[in-house]
Amino acid sequence: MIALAIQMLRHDGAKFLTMVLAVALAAFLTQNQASFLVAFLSMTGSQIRDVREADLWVMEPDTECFDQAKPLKETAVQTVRGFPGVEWALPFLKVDTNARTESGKLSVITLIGVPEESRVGEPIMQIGDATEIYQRDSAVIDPGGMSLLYPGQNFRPGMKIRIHDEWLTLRGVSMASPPFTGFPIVHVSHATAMRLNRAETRNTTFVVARLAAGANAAKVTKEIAQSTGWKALTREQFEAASWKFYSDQGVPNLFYITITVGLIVGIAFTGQTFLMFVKENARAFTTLKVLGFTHPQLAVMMFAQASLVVVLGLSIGTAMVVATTELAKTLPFFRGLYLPWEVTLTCCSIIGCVTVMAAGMSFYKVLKLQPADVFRA
Amino acid sequence: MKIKGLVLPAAAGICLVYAAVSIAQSNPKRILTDPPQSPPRSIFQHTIAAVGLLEPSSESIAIGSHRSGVVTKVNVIAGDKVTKNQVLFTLDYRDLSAQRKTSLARIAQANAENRSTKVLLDQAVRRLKSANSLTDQRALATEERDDRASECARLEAQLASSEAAIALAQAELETVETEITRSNVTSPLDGTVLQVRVREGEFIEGGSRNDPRLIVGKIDPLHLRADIDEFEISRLKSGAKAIASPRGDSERKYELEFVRYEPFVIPKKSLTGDSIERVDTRVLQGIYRVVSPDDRLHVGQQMDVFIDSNPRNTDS
Amino acid sequence: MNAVDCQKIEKSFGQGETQTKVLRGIDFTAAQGEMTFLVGPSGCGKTTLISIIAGLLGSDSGSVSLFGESLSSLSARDQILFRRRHLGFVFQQYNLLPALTAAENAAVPLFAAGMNRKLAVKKATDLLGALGIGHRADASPRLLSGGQQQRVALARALVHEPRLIICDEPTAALDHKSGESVMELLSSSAVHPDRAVVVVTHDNRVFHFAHRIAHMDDGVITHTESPTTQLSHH
Repeated sequence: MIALAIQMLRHDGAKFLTMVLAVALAAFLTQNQASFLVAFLSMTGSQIRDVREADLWVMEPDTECFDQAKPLKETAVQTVRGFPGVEWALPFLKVDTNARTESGKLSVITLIGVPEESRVGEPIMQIGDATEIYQRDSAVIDPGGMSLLYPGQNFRPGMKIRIHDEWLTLRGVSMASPPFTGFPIVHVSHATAMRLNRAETRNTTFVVARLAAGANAAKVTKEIAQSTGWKALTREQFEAASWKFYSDQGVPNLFYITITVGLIVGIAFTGQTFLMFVKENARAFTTLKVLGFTHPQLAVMMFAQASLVVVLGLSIGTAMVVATTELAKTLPFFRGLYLPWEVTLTCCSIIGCVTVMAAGMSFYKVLKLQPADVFRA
Repeated sequence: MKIKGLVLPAAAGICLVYAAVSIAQSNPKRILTDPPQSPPRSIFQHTIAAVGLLEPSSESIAIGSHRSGVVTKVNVIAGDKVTKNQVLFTLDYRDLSAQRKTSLARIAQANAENRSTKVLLDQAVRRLKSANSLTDQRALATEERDDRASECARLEAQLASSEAAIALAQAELETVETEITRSNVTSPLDGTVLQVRVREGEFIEGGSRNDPRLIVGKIDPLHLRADIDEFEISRLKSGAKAIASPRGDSERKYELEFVRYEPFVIPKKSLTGDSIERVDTRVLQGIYRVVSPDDRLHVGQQMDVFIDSNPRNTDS
Repeated sequence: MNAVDCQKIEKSFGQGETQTKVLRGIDFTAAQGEMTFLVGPSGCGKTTLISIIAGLLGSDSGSVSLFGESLSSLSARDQILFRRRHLGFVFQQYNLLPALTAAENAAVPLFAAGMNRKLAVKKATDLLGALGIGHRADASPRLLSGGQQQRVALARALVHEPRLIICDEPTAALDHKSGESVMELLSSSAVHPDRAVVVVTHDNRVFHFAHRIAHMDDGVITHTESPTTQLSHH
């Protein structure tokens, strides 16, 4: 029965292909836009995720996202260490400053100080060894920073950047996750970062900490917040907060329009084509009814047809998204792009459900076919 | 048109696999790893954390000099154990030696003068006696006798003067010798030389405070000065147990014993790095004794301190 | 017991002034082991009558019973199941599914009954062989001639061994020779002591295959005859 249904569908190859491609187009448009949106917003948490050792972040109550942080006082790290349920706590220093290359290229950069004694937040490296940042006046830069500050050039040991009248030697290229701001991410030792941050009083942008095994995260964060007045968030909460901060700025609205258009176009195409398919096969469906096919059997057949269209279309559409994403990733601006599995799941579910619903509307046509019409020439 | 065979399903299958693999690989991973090196951790359930510096129990004593001058000899190197009054270094005092010789000569001269005056006085006294002993007062003119008396009185005064000269010369000698003693800078206590920044031949400015040339201190016992945030003071119990770990080696833990608090809450000094000090935190300083220090602890080393703040434990 | 027993069937289409009465009290029977022809000019109500007999259309009044079972007493679903099990159809336009091969087309009633696909196709292929087009079993219907297509349709009507076969103008779209051979096949393979065959036609060239001929005009059966020529065939 299902084989029969698939055979009918494949026989009308033009319509079959049209429907598959329409679903693919809907899947492409929606996932492409949604992945742009989600990938960009998830970049707001890149530097939070990159501190792979810490699952608790403490910050000033005014701090809403990673990029716009108000530093804590110097003893904050000791205070956080004092809370039960905190395994360890360390200062995290982030400095936003300007850097200039030897050739005079200038960019705002995000400087991150890695504590020498624990090496928490040390970047994973593409070129070079991360421990070289603990040498005097050394730094490593992320690939995005390389392409911004040294466009078209490959990394050479001995490249230098100038920050606050001090030359830092680049020792390697890190694999720091791309930041939402698009600024180069430069890792240095905590001591170097403090020296370069001497214009500021406070050297503790965040306190990063690890919850003790078995500690209740909600309880610990609440306790810290209550007794210090600071904001204590788990890594996931902080990521979500950064996400929310940027999405509240209206970034997503543009994307929503395209996503909706993609969804409507794809589904309208598919639904319309399916309807045409049913109309053209009316004689066949009528014959099947006369020959003893029940309505549930016909429903299963049409569901199978719609499902096949959906599965094939979604596979092709998703692959198209993946291919364009991988292509776009080669551009520096899009280096943080990826297709979140949640986006794929959501978009595919919606498209699948709606397409099957459209097929259901076509099935209504089949229901209404008069079996006696079979004798009409 | 009929879709032949498995072209479309096969294409879709390849697409599906490609998409699945790419999505699985490219999605950011939220992994939790252990730090490459262990950060400091408390061993107590309730903790007040602080940072502190190791210091001598005597605190660090900066040794200066009263005198200015060129250093002729340095007797110690950093790390030497010294006893109270042991000479640490010596300044050039050849000028004082010359002055001392002058003073000695002066003493000798004054003594000589004193002795010659005494002889003359004896002679004058004799002559006065012989004049007074004449029974016939007319045997000698009255005038002559008076002269002899005056001579005696004059010589007595001269004697007194010469004795004063001796005292003066001796006082002068003492002054010079004190200065010579001061050219040898000594240790004020039994302790250890912590830093030597003086070398033979260098010139030292006397009385300067800002530029200690030599630091001594008593490092047995070794003390730790912990900066405790003023907000934590209410949770602090004196006598609470405490441990400390050196920066960068949190696996080593040293037991601490409470000594005292500095009664004065001070602005926090940044212990790390060299950023310009603009203070927005005040700290209470607690002094602790390192119970069993080993040779891997050094004065001036920065330590992460954890003080037990469990209300139940601290009363014992 | 008659295979088909229609009593006083009336049926009209449309409403009010445009209402036309198509069937005006039809009494019609068809017996097992016989081929019954229903003949008459076009528009006389033949198609409506067989639609009602097949349960594809309801009647306004009167009763239809097939093998003693009253159709109106069955639920809609049971009517379908009854049709699936006991009825076979041959249409004027063959009504083969273009997506399927000849054998698969012939196997459709077995598919509907839920038989294993391989088994069903095998059975249909055997039947096609018996009907003389076994060599075209894997061909698509549009590559077959009209006569071949109607033979596939015949196989489809026979494959599930129904007790009543309804043929609607089976030769109308065929030339004389093909029509003759299809009718020969029909009378040789479909007629069976347990089975009734009702053929609607106005092709008088094939009347000689009938056991009985019911003449119909303007909504009524005018007369029924049993041609003697048919008897000589046997």
